[in-house]
Amino acid sequence: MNKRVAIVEDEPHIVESLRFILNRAGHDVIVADNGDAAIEIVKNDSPDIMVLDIMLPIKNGFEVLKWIRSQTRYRSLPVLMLTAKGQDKDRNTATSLGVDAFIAKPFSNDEVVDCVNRLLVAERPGG
Amino acid sequence: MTDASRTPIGFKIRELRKGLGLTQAQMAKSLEISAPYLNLMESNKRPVSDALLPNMAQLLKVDLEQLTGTTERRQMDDLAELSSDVLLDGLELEKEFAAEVVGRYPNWTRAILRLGQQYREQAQALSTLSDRFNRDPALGATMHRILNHTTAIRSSSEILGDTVAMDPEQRQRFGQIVLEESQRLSAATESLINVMGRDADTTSLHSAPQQVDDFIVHNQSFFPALEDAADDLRSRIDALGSTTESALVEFLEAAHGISVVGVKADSVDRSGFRNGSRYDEDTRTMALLEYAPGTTRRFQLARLVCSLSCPDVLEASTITPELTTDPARNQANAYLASYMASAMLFPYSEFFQDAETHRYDLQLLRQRYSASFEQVAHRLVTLRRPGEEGVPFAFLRSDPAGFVTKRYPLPGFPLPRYGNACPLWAIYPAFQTPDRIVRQVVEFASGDRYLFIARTVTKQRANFMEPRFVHSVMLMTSVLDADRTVYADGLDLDTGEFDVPVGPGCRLCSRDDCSYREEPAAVNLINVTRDT
Repeated sequence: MNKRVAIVEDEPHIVESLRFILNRAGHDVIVADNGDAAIEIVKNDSPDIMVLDIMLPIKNGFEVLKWIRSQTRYRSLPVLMLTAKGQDKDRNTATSLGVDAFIAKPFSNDEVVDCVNRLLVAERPGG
Repeated sequence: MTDASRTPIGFKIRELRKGLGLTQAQMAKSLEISAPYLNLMESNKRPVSDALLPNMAQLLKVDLEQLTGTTERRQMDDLAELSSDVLLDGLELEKEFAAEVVGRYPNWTRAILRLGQQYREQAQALSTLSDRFNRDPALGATMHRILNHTTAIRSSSEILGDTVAMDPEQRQRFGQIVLEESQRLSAATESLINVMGRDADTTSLHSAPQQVDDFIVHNQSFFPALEDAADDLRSRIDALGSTTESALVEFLEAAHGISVVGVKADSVDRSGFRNGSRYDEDTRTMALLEYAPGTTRRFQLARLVCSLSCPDVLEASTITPELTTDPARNQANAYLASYMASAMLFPYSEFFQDAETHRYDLQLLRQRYSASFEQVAHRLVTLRRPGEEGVPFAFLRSDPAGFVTKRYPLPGFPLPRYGNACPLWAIYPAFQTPDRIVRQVVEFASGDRYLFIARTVTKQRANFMEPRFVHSVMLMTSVLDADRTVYADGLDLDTGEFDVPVGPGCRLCSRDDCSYREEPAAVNLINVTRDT
C-alpha cells in the first residue's frame, strides 16, 4: 500500500522535484506551502510522514514541529527536516523539539528517498 | 598634560643641534644657560622651560610648534594606545625606549603607528565581516535563496540524469526548471557580491575618523582661513539684520536661490532629516523641522550658508597630508562646514572676551548667543587663536550605550580612539541627572588631573511615540587651567583629596583596585605616556 508523504516547502521547483522522486519511489504526495497549511494537512489528510522545510511563510518549520509534538493524536508522525548545511543551531533546535531526521540542502534525491523509506519502517518511540 | 615642558623633546633638540654642527657649549652659551643643564634637557631629564623655547627654536632654525612637539605628544598617545592591544600582552614594553623611539626615530615611529593603524583597520574589517556573516539579514536571505536555487538545480539535474524512461514533456519541464533556477542563482550570486561589496566600502571608511582626528589635532582645533571667511560672510549677512534665522533665510534666497520650507511635526514627510534639516541640492530646497529648536535651525542654516558661499575655502582646507582618502576629506569637509558656521555665529574675539569675562559659564554664553549647550561647548574648543587663546578643552559626546559619537581631542589628553572611555568619567554619570551639569575633578594614575564638565542634551521629539534621543556632552581641561572657569568654584583643585580616580579606559589604566575594571591592564604602557 502506498504511503502518504506530506511535503511542506514553499519553493515550487523543489516541491516538483520532491514530488517526482517520491512518486517514483511509490509514494503519494500531498503538499503545503506554509506552516498553517501543514497543520491542516496533518489534521485532515493523515500523512504517514512529513518532509518539512524550516523557512516557511506564516508559521516556520519549528512551530509546525512543535505543534505536531504537542498533539497526542499526531505526535508519533515521523518528521524529516530540511536544513541548511552547517546550521548547527537549527539542528539543535529541531532535535530539542523532537525531529526524527535531518537532511541538508542542497540534498541528493537518493538521500531523501532513502531517509523517508527508513523512517516509514522505523518504530517511533511513543508511536 | 598641555604644557610643552612635559613633552620628550630632548632627543629632538640634540638631533637638531648636531645637524647644525653646534656643540652643547656653543648652544648653551647662545641660550645663556649652562652646558650641563642643556645636557640634562637633551637627555629628557629636565623639562624645557617655556621661556627658553622661542630662542631655542630660532637657534635650531625650526618653528616653535615643530620644536614643542605637538606631533610627538600625539604619537606618544597613539603608541601607548596601540601598545595596549592584547596582541602585545607580556612584551613588557619599557617606557624609556618608547620615549626614545618617538623623540629620536620619527620615521620608525611613523612606521610602527602606520602598521598599527592598518592592523586595527583590518581587525575592524574582520569584525564587520563576522557581524555580517552572523547577523546581517540581507546576507542571510541571500544565502537562503542561493541554497534553494542550488537544491532545485541539483535535484532536477539528478532526475534528468538518472531517469531513463521519462515522458518528453516531463523531461522538458525539469530542463526548464534547471534553466530558470540557474538564472535565479546567477542573480542571487550577484546580489551576494553586492552585499559583500558594501563591506569593502565600510572598511575603507574606518580610517576616515582617525584621519580627521589627526587633522584637527594638527591644526590645534583652529582654522584661521575659515575664521576670516566667516567674518566676511557675517558682515554681508549683518546688512540683512544680524545672523538671525530670518536673515539667514533671506541671504540663502537672495545669494543662492535656495527656498527654505518648514516641515510640521505631523507631516508624513519627515524622512532623511539630519539635525533637524534636509537639503535637496536638485530642487535647491532647505527643509527645516518646525519643532526643532531655534538654535538648531539657525545653526543648520548657517552651515548651509557657509557650504554654499565658501566651497573653495572649505575644500582648500582639506588638502593636507593628514587626509589621504575621499571619505576622510568628505568627513573633514563636513566638520569644517560646522566649524565655519560656528565661527560665523560666535565671532572669535567677541566670544573669546565674553568667555573670559564670564569664566566660561556655558549657561550664560548660551543665553548671550542664543545657542545650544553643545554649540557653545564646541566653539569653546576652537578658541586657540595665538594671542587670544581660551582655556584648552577637549570635547567628547557619547550616546547612552557608551558609543562615542563625536570627539575633538586635545594634545596629550588620553581620549580613547577605540572602544569606550572609563565608565567613571562624568560623561556617563551625567545620564543619571539629565539636563544638569556634572562637574568632576579627576586624577589619572599618572598623577595628571583634569576638570570634567558634562551635561546631557536631548533632541526635540515630534510626538509622544518618537523615541527620546539623549546624548551626553563633556568638556575636559587640565586643572592648571580649570580656575579660569566658573566650574572650578568650590571644588578642591589644590589637594587632590577629593579627586575621582579614573583611567583612560581599562586597557590603559593601571588601577588594579577599580571595581569597574572589565579588561586586564597594560600597566607598563600607561607609564610610557604619562611619565615622560
